[in-house]
Amino acid sequence: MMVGMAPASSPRAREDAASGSGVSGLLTAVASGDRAAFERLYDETAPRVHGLVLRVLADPAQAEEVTQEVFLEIWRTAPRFEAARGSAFGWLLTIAHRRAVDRVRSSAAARTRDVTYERQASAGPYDSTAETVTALLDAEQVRGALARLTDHQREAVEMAYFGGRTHTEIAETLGIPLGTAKSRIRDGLRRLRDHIGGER
Amino acid sequence: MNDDEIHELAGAYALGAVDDIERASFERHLKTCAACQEEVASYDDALVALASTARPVAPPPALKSRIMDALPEQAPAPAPAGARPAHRPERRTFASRTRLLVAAAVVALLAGVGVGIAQPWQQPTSVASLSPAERVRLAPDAKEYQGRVGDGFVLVTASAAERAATITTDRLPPVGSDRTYQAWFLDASGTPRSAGLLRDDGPQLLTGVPGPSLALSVEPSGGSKAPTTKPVVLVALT
Repeated sequence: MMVGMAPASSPRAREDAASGSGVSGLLTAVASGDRAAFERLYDETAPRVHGLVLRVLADPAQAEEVTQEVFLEIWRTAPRFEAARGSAFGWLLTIAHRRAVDRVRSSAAARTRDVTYERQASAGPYDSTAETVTALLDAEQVRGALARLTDHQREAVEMAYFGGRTHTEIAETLGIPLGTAKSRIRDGLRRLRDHIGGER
Repeated sequence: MNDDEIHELAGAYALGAVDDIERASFERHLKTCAACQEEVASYDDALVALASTARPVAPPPALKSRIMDALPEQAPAPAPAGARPAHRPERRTFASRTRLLVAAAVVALLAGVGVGIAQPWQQPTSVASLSPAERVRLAPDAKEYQGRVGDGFVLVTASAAERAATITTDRLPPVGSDRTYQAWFLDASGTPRSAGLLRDDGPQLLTGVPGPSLALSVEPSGGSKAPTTKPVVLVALT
């Protein structure tokens, strides 16, 4: 197993590494129609984008289609990305998440939705390349923050984000009042926010 | 929906866990409610963090060619001046300017991935130089299957053409020095056949031709002829 990832030394170092010709720079080049930059952007971000889409859809064939849609949308809408407003990577993930959830909620996906959550909770194909493991190491901090959520909060947040379910569906699935579902989601998200913030 | 109730929706809205009608009414509310704007924006980085818990998965190499082929000839249309990005969900519209470093760390990580680690489609050209486990993992027909054990993961890569499978694990619960994880291929009737003892996290070539599913059980050091404990995970290889 790969364990060679050096810990990020400081917030400043991380920030430096994230700037320059990173995702944001590539996106700016893509906005001007630079196909080579788009290819590099794809190379650098496709595993993360596809990983998120696959996690939501739990269906490799549909996930490929959606990943394709995501990158074509990125090409089309890159000029609208505003670096001052947020991270380029967050922007890509937002597009990917929204498209994946749209697909889950489309009628075709709805038929298999009940098994989808089960499948992603238990088993599903995923990639084993080195960056997976490296990313896992870096995800420790996030995992730490997630561990601060109660089981109920985490369950609700994950059903919403990765399961693509609405709070109403979550309430029905878990057999809890709607208000309870809403507050589990909100309290869980707040806690995640606060603990990530606190661990910076 | 009264006003108190609609504030409650901020979290579900940020996560996308609302239906179209709720989204529309919350967005109407959002236009005039500074508290909700602030709350929704404050979740931005938690959402990136959440997204980053999804394991990266390299799409098949063919997808890149398909996407490049599908790219329109012309450059993207410039954004209309002053236009609010219509495609962008509200939480981005109200995004805060200060960003959590989790986002930056993820990007930094990507930068590292870009230069330091071979992408999966940059496959070694010499098959002879590959270990048997690598050969399975890089086989054109290789399929990957994942299972969970507590907070840990099991990844099995199987190739029908190679008639072999590998296993990679991550953070399996420790079993003590006198015990070991043993892998089993189960045939269609569920009869187990040892696929070897796990030496470390792998990737490790499993012994024998893969069956329809794989189980892991905790066995005394040295392994058992048949599982003596209930398997901790069962991964269907189909």
